[in-house]
Amino acid sequence: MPLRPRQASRSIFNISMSQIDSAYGVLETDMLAEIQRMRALGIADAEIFNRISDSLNNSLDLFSKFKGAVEKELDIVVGKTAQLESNVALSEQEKLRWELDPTVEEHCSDCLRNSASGQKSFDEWSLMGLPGMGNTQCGSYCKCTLT
Amino acid sequence: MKGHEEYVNALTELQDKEGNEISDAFLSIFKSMLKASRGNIKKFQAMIRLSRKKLVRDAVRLVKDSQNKAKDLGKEFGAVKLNAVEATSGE
Repeated sequence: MPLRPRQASRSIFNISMSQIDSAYGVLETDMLAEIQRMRALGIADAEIFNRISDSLNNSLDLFSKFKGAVEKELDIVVGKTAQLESNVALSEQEKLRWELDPTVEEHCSDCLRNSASGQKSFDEWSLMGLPGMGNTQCGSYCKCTLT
Repeated sequence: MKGHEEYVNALTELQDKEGNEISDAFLSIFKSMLKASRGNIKKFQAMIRLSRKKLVRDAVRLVKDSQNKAKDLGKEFGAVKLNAVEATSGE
C-alpha cells in the first residue's frame, strides 16, 4: 500500500505529543514520590522546597529526566518528518538504493543489509521500512537515505 | 551522494535546537511557578498539576512549528536528490 506522507506526518506528531503529555505525567508522579520520600526522612517542607528549587534551577534529577524526555520526542518528530519528506520526493522513481549516513563510521546491521540489497521500488522500501521510520536497529535515529 | 552529509548535519542541528527550545520553555514556566509559590511546596506541586493541560496544549504549536521546519528541510533535500537523479538519467 503506498505511503501517505500527510497522514504519516500527522501520526508522528500525535504520537510525540502524547509522549510529551506522558512525560509531564511522569514528572508529576516523580515529584510527588520525591516529596513523600523526603517527608518520610523527616525533612521539613521549607527544605524540601529548597531542594526542589535547586533541582529545577540546575535542571537536575526529575527535571533533567523531563527535559531529556521532551528532547527525545523532538529528536523523533523532527527526524522522522524530515526523513519522510526527503524520501517521499523520489517516490515516482522506478528504482532506488539505500545510501548509508555519510557522517557516521559504524552502521547498524539492518542499514548495512539494506544498503547491500540493491535497488528496489519505493513501495518495496516502504514495506521494508523507509530510512528513519523506526524499522532498523538504529530506529528513528537513522539518517540513511534513498537515492 | 553530494548534499547528504550537509543534510544530516543540518537535521542534527535542527533536532538539538528545537529540543532545547521546547524543553527550556517548559522549565522556564516551572521556574515562574516556583517563584509564584513563594516557598510553599504544596502550592508549587498543585500549580504543576493544574497547568498540565494548558502547557501541553501550548506545546502543540511549538512542536508543530518544529515539524514544519523539519518538513522544509526534508523537502529541500528531496529536491536535491531528485535533481541529481534526473541529471544522471538525462546524460
